[in-house]
Amino acid sequence: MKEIILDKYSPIISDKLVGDEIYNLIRSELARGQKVSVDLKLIKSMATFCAKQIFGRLYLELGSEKFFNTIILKNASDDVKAIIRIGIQSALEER
Amino acid sequence: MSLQSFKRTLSAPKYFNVNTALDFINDCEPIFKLKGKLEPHFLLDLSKMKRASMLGILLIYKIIDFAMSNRCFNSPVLKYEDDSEDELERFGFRELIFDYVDNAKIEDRDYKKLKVTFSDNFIIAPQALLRSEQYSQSRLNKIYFPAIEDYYKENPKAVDMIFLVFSEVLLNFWEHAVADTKSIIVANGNKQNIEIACADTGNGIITTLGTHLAEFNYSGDRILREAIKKGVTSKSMTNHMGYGLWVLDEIVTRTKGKLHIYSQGVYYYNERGKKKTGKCGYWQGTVIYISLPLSSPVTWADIEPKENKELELQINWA
Repeated sequence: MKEIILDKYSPIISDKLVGDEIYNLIRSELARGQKVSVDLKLIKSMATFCAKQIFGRLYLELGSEKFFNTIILKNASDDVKAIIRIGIQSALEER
Repeated sequence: MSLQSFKRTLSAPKYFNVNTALDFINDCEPIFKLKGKLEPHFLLDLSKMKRASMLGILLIYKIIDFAMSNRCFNSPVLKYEDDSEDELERFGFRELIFDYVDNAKIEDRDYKKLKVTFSDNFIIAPQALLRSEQYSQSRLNKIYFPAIEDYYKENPKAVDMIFLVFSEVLLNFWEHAVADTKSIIVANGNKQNIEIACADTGNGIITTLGTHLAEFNYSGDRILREAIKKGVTSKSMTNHMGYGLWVLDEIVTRTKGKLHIYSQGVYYYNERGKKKTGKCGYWQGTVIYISLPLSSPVTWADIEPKENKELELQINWA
């Protein structure tokens, strides 16, 4: 299990370049066959754009089952959980 | 040079705040038509300004930035008195504005002098948004937001709400005001209330969304009302979801705050849930102003649609 700690992007993820960086980090570890644990403890907010860019895209690409089995989202606040759900849902609606 | 000798004068009002911003924006309209004209005998008259809010100061800065970056005027004159100079100084803009009028060109390093200050129990937090390097991103997360979080640490849910607002305002700026390379976001507040404002001279909401809605032939104020709706975006089938302005509007309604948006000749006001659009002077780009009471903060956990929470998404939360 590879742990990705997002502290360095805290407290807000609101930039497309940062979103790309996080997405690529997760994707590259998955490509190595690793399960990934993403620690969101210090992330207080995220633009909805970034939630879709990172987690919406991963959910679509991996499918729900593989997303659940290979990516653990740790220590997300209720707000961050809401934003991620919204991002994933938006990605699914445009599928 | 006497006042009568000036061909064009732009004056700041005596009390330059959210209530008088509309008049100033109306007066700015002719300037956006002067790109490259190097018009002589222009006076920026701040001498009557006794008191300003950070929105007023931001608008003064931004119209000067536009005018000087686009060579609208040749050797503009700035008139000010002690009170107006003090107001520019209070918000950290004095040197920037004076240098602009004197030198006509501002380097990135001049923006880096902006800093978070505390005065009379108020936090005043201007931050440059520079596209030329990762400076802004790094400074926002390492210095700017921690200062705001520390100031409001007794009210952690307010911090979450403030950061939600910043995340959407910033994303909107980075992604939609692409033509604007040097803007400034400002926050100003006390323990009871915070104001956040950002002004750009990029493409503007009416242009970017209007292109997307061209088939409907909507008026400008209809386009602005559409922009606030959930799911309406100028960039569909991308990562843009059209949630940014909607969630700001929703927060303002629920907290009984204020949201003012000005863009390309139209405005949208939401004041304590009462909404209004109308015509105003043409501002090239977008001005967004939010005022939030902090006694009952609202965040995504409160706003997320019920049906979204009940979705059977396969997410491994730990």
